[in-house]
Amino acid sequence: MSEGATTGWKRALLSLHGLAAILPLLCLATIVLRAASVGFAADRELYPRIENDPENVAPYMLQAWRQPRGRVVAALGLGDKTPTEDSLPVAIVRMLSEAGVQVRVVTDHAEADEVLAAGVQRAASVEEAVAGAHSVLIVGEGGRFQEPDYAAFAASMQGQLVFDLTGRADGLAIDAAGLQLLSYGAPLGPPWLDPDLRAYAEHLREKIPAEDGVLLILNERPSSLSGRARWFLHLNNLVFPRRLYLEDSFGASGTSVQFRQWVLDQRKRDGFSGRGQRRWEPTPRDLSQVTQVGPARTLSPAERAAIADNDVQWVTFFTMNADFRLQDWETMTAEEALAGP
Amino acid sequence: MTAFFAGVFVVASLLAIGEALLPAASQVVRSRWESFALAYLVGTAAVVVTGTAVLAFGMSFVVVAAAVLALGLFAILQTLRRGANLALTPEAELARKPGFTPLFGALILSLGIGSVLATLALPLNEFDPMLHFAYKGKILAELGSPLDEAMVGLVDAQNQPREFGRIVTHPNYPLGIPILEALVSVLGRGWHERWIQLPLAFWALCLPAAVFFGLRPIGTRAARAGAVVAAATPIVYERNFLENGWSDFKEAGLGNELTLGAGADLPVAVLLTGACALVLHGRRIEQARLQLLGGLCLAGAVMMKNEGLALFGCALLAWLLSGAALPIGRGARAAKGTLIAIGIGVAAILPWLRLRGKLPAIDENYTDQFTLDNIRHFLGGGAELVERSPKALVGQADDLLANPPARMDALPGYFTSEFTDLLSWGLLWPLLLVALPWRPREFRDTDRRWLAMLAVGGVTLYFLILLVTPWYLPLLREKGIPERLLLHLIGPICLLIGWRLGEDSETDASPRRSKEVTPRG
Repeated sequence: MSEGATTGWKRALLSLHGLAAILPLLCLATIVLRAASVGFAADRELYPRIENDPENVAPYMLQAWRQPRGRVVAALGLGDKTPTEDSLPVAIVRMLSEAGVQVRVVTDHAEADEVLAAGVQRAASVEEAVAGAHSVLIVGEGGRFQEPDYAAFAASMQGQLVFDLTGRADGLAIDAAGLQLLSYGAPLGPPWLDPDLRAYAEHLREKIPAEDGVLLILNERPSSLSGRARWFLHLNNLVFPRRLYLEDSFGASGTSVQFRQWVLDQRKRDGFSGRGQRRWEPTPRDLSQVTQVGPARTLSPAERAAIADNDVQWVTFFTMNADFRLQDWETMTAEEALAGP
Repeated sequence: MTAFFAGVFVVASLLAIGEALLPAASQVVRSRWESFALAYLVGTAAVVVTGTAVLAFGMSFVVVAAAVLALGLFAILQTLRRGANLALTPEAELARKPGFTPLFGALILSLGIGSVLATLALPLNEFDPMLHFAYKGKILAELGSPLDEAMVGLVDAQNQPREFGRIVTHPNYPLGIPILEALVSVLGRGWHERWIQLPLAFWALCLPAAVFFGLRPIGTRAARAGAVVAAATPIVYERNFLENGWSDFKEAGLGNELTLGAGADLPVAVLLTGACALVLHGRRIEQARLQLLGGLCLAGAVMMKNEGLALFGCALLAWLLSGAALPIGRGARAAKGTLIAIGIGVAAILPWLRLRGKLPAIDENYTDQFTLDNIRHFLGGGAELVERSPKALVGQADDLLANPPARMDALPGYFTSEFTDLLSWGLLWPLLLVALPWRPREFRDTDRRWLAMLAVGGVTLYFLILLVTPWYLPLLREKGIPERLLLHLIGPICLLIGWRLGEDSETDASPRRSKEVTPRG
């Protein structure tokens, strides 16, 4: 702005506004540098980790069993930071212990004994902690417990539950071992980067010809109002051009308010068992290795008609959860679904 | 790499088609920087408007891709030939240069290049760009028609929701962005989540150059000031950066606060800027062709997002009410050009309106809501639609339902908080206040008048739209409303600001026409 007689106040205003350019410069540089740090790929590790409150976690863990008292949980790690009485893993272990759960902790933190509740056991090794346990609780500790041998866990455990506080547990490996993942960590990254979703979409792309139609069938009343539970939107995008059909897709595809209304409408309907449907378990399962919890069920007359009306060759049953788990999804041919158990 | 080269080809085609439509640089003097921006905006508008028309008349997207391939190749060759033959006098060559100081030049260059790199740094990674736009791009690329069941299969032949229907979000959103993405996909013979964004990476780069071109006839000082203001406004790149302190560095570019990329708000804003700049420049030098292209860019903005239609109406009203389209007196010749721009704009959006009528409307029935009764109701203290709040839906808002607040309790606050939000807007709004044509002799200038009417009218329009929104307003606030809407108006605002900052205060006589810079076309 060198030429002419731009008055002082104008120059000052322009300069002050020009200073605001520092913000986008910093922002753009950060975006490019951070993208470079993960090889310019959309990666969950770009996203900050959000820690849940223990009060929001422990009660839900306890609901995994009808009777928590006497269950055995192997806690792998106590977190990256030095544990204190208030830290999340310690508080959760205490709450589980107070509910009568026997907790075995594997940790390298020397301070652990000072902060853990009296009834909590220290295990010398992962194998010792996991042997006979009903559940494994993945907390993590530095690089330790990042890639546990879930197949070995499944062989030595009494139960099949894996509680994950990290949001990073390998859902595919857990499922492949026949174990059930229950994630209690705040989700890491947006839903479309969920590795289990992407693996299942890849599986469907390999299994289903591009021109085929797929009827998505909700297994039971949806439990989650979370927008994150709209996995069908992302699956529809990821497996395009395969034709996906869903009951009342108008509401399900709408805004977040319309989606919530759709969930509430689905909940108001008679339970699926009340409509004369019953669960069944195809053997072997489509992709998941977890047995006895699959989402397949017999079809209603309306669903049977939808298969005929829409030139549908495949049926995908799903249970709607805020976390995408392979065990909640089951795809089979329309003939198999129509034939039932 | 095929997708990358297809993306480069599409960008080159947009530039060459735009350059072919623009008057030669010897007729309307402009720098290479301005040429790039105008060619990109005009070329993009031409392709999305024509592409939508082709689809609206039932032809397959392959026709659009083939036309872009053929016309693009032809236009690229023509541009290269024209560029080689371009010979300007030393005076004209000097007049082309924007004349920034090194500091401001470096700032604009860094922000422009940074915006392109940041857009392409990650593959598509946001909900709206992926599901509202790119999914439709896939439909066009793979299935060829926006009337395929994939797009309209939410409803049956009677336009009622199907018992078992297809899954698609906002099927009646305009097809501008999907068309650009699908072009890369078809020409690259495959969908690539990073490189389909290539034609969408240049909006922020083009914004200041378009403002500069618009203000060039007013004076290069005004043009430079307007360009700096446009480039330095943070919301052009990301909203609310550093609002949460340093922790925002961890989430830069990862939330829905990123304006860059394959979303639609920035394209609407920059195409509207292009429209205003071309019409302003065209009016000042009485060049009807520039104004015509301005009308095309305005139609291009309509093809990017539904709000483009509201802005189209606002621009038309501004031109009509300000007298800019009144072909009498001294400004008759300029007004005729403006009328041509309006005619071109209206003609260009008609095919889209025809097509839009055949697409299911999932939620945005604003036309039904926008009634005088409704406006009166909410202005007079009408209650917020709390029954549509997430908590009310799950029965956790008994208090709220019993005592619903008036919508007007919150709405003005949303706007004032934006006007004072320095992290997103810098000093843009105070500068606009200073830049409005307050003095009678300023207001007598038709061009200042329509720019001011568009800027102020646009803010008023969005205020009224939000006043009657059928949704729970606080929920919209969480999703970046109204700042995402206000961004659309950055073009006319920066043109007004640049005009004010570039004035010679001693004579207060901005040249009506800068003959030294731009010869009459």
